[in-house]
Amino acid sequence: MSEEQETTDLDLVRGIKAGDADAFERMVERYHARVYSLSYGVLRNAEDAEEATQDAFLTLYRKIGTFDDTKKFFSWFYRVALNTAYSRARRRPSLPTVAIEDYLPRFQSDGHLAAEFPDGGIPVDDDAALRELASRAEGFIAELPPAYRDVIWMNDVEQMAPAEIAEILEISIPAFKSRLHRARLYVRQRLAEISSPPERVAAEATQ
Amino acid sequence: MKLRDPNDFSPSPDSTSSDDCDPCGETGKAGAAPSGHDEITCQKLILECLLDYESGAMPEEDRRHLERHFEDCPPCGKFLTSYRATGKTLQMLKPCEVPAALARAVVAFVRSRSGRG
Repeated sequence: MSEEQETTDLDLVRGIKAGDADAFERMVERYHARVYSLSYGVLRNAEDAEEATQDAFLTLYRKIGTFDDTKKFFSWFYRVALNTAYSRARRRPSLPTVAIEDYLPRFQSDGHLAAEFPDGGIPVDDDAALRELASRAEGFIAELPPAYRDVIWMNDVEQMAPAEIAEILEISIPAFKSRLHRARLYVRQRLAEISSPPERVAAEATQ
Repeated sequence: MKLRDPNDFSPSPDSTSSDDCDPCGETGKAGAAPSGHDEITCQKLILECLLDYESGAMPEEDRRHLERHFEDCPPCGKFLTSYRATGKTLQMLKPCEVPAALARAVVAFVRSRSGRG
C-alpha cells in the first residue's frame, strides 16, 4: 500500500473520530469491496457477506476510538472484519473441515514421490475448464481449517501482500509461508483428483 | 485495486530470509538427505522448497539444483506442472462481484444503528 494511501487512511480515521460523516462515507467507499470479498471468503454466501460487511463497518464506527493511530489502519480493520465474519459463521450450522494431512503428497520411505499419485491433467490452456475448476477450488478452500483458509484466500485470491497477511493474522512470515504452501498442496491434490478419472490414472500407470 | 503476483514474495520488506528451505541439506535436519547437491529428496523438495522455488526468492545456485531434479525426476516434474496449474486455477477466482448498492447500504445501516453517521 502506498504511503499516500496510508496518509489518507489516517486522515479519514481522524475525520471519523471527529464525527465527520463524509470521512466515514469515504472510508466505506474505499474498503467496502475488500471487506465484502473477505467476508464472502469466510461465509461463501452473498447475503451473509453483505450483512457481515455492514456489521464490520458498524464496529469500525463504534470502535474507531480504540484504534491506535500509530498502527496500520487497514490491518486493524481487516482483523475487525475477519472476526465479524467468523462470529457470523459461528451462528450457523458449520460445515466440517478436512484433515489437511490426508491430502498432502505421499512419499516412499526413501523420500521419493510415490509415482502413482493422481496427476492433474489440469487443463491450463482451456479457460472455460479452468473457470469450472476454479469454482470447485473455491469449495475446497472453504473446507480448509480457518488457519489455512484465511492465508490462501488472502494471498491467492485477494492477492494481498504476505507481510500484510502475516500482520493481520499475527503470525510470522515462515508460518505464513508454511500454511500457504500446505493449503496449495491440498487444493492441488483435490483438483488433480477431479481432473483425473481413476481409469485414466490406471491407464497412465501401465504405459 | 492493484493486484500483486501471488507468487511474488520478494518485495515484502518484512520478509525473513528466503533460503529457509535449505535445498542442499546443509543444516542437516533430522531425516534429511546427507549434505551434497545430488541428494535432495522429492519429499524435501515438494514440502519445503517448492514455494520459494516458485516465488523466485531463491538463490540462483539452489534454483538450478532444483531445476535439475525436476528434469531428472518425472513424478516431481508432473507434480510441478500440476502445482502451477493449481496456481493458475486459483487466479481465476480473483473477481469477487460486489453488490452494486453495497456501499450505500452500509452507510444507511450504520446511520440507522448509530443514530448519526
